[in-house]
Amino acid sequence: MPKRLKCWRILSLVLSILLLLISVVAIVLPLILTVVQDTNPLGGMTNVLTLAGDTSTGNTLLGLKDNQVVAVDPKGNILWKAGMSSAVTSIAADGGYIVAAAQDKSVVVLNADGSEAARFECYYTPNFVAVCKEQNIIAVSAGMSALKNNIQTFDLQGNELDTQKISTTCVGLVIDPDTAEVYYLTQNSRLYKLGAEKDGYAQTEYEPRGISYDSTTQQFYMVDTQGTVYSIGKDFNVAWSVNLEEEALNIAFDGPTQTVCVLLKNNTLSILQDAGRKNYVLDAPLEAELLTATGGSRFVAASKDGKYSLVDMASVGMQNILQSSQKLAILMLPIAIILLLLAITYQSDEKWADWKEKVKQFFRVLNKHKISYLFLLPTFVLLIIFNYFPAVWAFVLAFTDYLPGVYCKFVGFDNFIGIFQNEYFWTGIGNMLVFLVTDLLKALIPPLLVAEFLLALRSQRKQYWARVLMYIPGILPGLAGLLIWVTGILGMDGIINAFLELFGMESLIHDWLGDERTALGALCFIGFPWVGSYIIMYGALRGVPSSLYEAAKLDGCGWWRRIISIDIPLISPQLKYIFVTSFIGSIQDFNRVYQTTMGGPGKATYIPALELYYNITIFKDYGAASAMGILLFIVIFGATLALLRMQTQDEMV
Amino acid sequence: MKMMKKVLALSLAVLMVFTILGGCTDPVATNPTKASGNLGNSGPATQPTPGESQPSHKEPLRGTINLSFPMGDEREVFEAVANAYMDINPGVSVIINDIDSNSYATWLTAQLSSNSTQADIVINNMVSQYFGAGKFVDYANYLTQENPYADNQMWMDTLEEAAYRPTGSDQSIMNLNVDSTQLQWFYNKEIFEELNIEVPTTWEELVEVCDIIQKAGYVPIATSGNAESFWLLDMGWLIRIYTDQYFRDYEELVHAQKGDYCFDPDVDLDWTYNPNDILNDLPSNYTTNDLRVLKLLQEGTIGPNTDKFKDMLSNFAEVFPKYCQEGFFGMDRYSAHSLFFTGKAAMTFGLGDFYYEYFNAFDGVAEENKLDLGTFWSPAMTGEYVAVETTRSLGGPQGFLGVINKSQEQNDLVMDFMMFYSAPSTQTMRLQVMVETGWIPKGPVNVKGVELPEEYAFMDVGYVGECDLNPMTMIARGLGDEPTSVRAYQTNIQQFMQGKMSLDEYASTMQKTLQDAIIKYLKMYQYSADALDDVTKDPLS
Repeated sequence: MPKRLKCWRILSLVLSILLLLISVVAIVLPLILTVVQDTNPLGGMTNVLTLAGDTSTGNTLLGLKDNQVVAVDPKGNILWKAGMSSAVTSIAADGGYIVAAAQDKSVVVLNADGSEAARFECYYTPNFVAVCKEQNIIAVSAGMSALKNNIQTFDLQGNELDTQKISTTCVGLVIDPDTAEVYYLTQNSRLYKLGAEKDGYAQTEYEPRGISYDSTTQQFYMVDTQGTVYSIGKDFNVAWSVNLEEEALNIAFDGPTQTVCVLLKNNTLSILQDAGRKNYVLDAPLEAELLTATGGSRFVAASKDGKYSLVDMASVGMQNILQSSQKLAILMLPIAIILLLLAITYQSDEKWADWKEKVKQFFRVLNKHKISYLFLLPTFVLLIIFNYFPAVWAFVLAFTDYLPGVYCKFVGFDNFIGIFQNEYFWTGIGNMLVFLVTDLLKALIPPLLVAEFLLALRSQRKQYWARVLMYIPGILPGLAGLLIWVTGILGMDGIINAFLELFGMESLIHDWLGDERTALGALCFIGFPWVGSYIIMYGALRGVPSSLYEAAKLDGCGWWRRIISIDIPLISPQLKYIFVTSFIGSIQDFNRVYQTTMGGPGKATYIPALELYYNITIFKDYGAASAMGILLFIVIFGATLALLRMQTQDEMV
Repeated sequence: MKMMKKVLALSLAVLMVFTILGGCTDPVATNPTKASGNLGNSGPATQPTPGESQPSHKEPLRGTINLSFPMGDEREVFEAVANAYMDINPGVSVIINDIDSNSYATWLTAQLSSNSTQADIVINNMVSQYFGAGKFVDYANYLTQENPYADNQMWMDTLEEAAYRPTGSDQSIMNLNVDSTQLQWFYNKEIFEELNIEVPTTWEELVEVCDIIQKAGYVPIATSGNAESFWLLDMGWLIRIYTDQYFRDYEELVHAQKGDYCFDPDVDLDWTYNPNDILNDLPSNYTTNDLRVLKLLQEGTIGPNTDKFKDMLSNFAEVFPKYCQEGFFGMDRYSAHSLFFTGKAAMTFGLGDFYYEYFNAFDGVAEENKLDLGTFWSPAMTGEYVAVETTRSLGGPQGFLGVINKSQEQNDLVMDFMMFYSAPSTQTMRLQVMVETGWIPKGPVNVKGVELPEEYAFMDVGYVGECDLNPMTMIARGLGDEPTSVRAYQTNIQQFMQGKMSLDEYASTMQKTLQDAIIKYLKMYQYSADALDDVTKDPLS
């Protein structure tokens, strides 16, 4: 082998190994060197309803549902707790004063050490507070619904200064420390100056999720649900806006670093700098909903269960580089593995000969039949999209508590446990077995007998007309047929009751589907005389060689004996086919019950497939429905597999 | 081969360089937009503070509004409204999408789970679990705006209070109800005259009247007793009416107290229980704390296993199914009503849409051959357990038109259509179209100054109050809308009515079912699981 070629081979091997190593390191490193400090300062305490940063101390203030305000230092240590008279709805801090509002309409002014400075009441239930020490003003937005809202202003001692009605629910409140002007953001996306609503407003494109104010540059920063961040001046002109392409939950602003931080629903934080041109994306705590700037170039994001992350802007650049590398490395890893395998394949070493040959063989075969694979590809892609993906997704959903478009929580085996405690499901299993047995009997015995009767007719012409007459009811749409049975045959004014009346058996007249005792039987009776798939049997019987019949006749074989000993064994493939399809159809069929009794009366006609359907359509319990689907799938799949195996073994014999 | 290996090695080297450089790239690129002007329609505010006047649209409206809900025969009426709106706003296209009623709930759930539904206006009372999830626009944010289609009056001032009832614990208003209806009993005057009997005013009288009618060979009451009826329809309506009659006094126990998150000083501070005032518990007079209802149920103070509830059910069992048609438990309401229309049954009951059935049944029949229809209100039950001596009716606001939350611009556009739809002039036109197309309104409309046309004047039968104002109706048929408790109720009430379950057995079973369903009810409305630990606190927090 030429020395140069050997060098290339070694080089390619070394490079591919190196690439693999770099990819692995790039993936692992951000996990080890995270600069987002995750802590749980409340030690398992939950129900954090609101969050505020005290920029004068760098502390974080948490408002709890259990009537407390808790101050936490930047290291995650609890400094003090202050009691409230109800759940805390909002907190604000400025210059050593902390204002907290509660659901019972009380508002408390606290000093920096948590001691109470003042306590007063607002008129409606407060939703936001803002405070400005310099201007000695507290603003409280409150309401009972979007129809009843006001903003009240107080001084720091709790004396009411003013009350103004506002026309919609307030979703954010700021005070300009230079002018004491109060600005409020409404649920219908508008930013107003209190008392100057007629003079103008700014509007976000979608419902807003939060507001921050930079008094230095006199800019408001707002974010809407669709993740568009707006920088707006006091004249309501937009300085810049940027869309983060994710649903946003909250926004905060850090003055010294001129940084906007946005909490997104995908559990990330978007750190925007340079008028939105730079966007660093960092991980936030799981299910974080709250965000605040705490001063000292730090942000805190928290979830309602008390987990929170502290983000130090000093480290954001490094974290962002690491996270970007990680994302790229995740993409590179499979490529690196493939390249490594190829590099190994083309090494000259004899010990790789077998491996090389297998790889070459694989690509040779692939190349040879490429047209076939190409034609098969669309089918498989469509199967994956429309069949396999929903099935796999259902499997995943079976382990979740899921409300489409709202939440999806992992719940382990809870849905399966729930099924085992669901009496309707188990009643349904019993009914399903009744339907299964009767459906199989109805699918096999009457059609076989009818096919035999048809064959027994000597005249071909009569056979033809009998076949046609028996086939015609099958043309009727299934739903129409069901409705005929429900009202025309089994109903109070139906044929059955009419016959009973005719023969003087009025005492037996009743609603066959409306009575628990007869509903299941009546449903089984639907379709009588169940000639169903007789045409398949008839066709199969026509294929039985007449010489066998003649030989049997010579041996003195009667009609019944002939059916048992000749017909059934010879048409067994068709019988097995009908058996398998009827088996699957019976378990899957919920139309028969849904279109007639809806599972009633009581739970007399419930079946598992109906329960599955109700779990989706009525109970909105998609997890339980998926779990039921999986159980039914296992039953059907297992039974079908067993039946096919029996059939294969028979054929081998 | 040589070339291939070179390419392989080179590609490896290039990939490595990219990997290393990748970590040093700029942060994720964004495309900030510079804007010199205001965002949205700034300038003079178009959302005034209450009391301020507002001009009509400054700029022509543009966009598409999609009405997507089951309309049935009322489709023509909605088309007429849509065309009238498009005449005024030629830049707006209003699309009518008549959805099949059977699959509507499933369809709507799918739309709400998607972030890109075409639907704008839907009937949303069956998806209340989405009310707290930001999927619908809160009408309250618009009701204080001026309605340009109603002489710039404030929108809420043009509507009756019933049109905009709160739908959630946060007092949000997720649907608008322009129509109204009331439950009445209907009777065949000829049969009553033939048997020389009077309209019953009490339950005892009803039993006596039924007995006479049955002995005369008629079916006394034709109504449906299937599972759907016990939940959503006839029998469920009756049970709510009498739950209200028995448990009206319990409203005092579940009234929002000072310190409750929902305590509204404007209405709750001076409220006192008044059994003689049928409007005593209107939302504008009274605030319920739903958590207090659940707490009472959890403690066993209220619920099916109480003397009051059992007394009510005993009274029911005296009439149903004894004085109903054969097949009561399996028959749907339309089949039952046909017995009434054919003169085989003497009484039935229903909401305003019963008139639509009645007129359809006698369409083309000479006036003198039509069934002579009489009406009366639900006879009151009596005895030591009832809280008030008269019944209120069932029904009240109807329509449940909700607006799916989209962009602010789209929300504003759709709300503009809703303002048009609910404007007095539009409703007058709508009723006129109903007359022309043969559609019957459910009852008087909840828009001030709009009267029913002369043709429908007979539907204006007065007002005896609404039983559903009483929060105790939450426990009448399962626990609110919580589906597992509803199903258990449907199964057990039929068992009880059929005599397969004793009253005590039913009461204890349902009491436990409802108590077990509390946690599911909380979850359904996305209330916190610990909401009942302290009922003064907002369950959504």
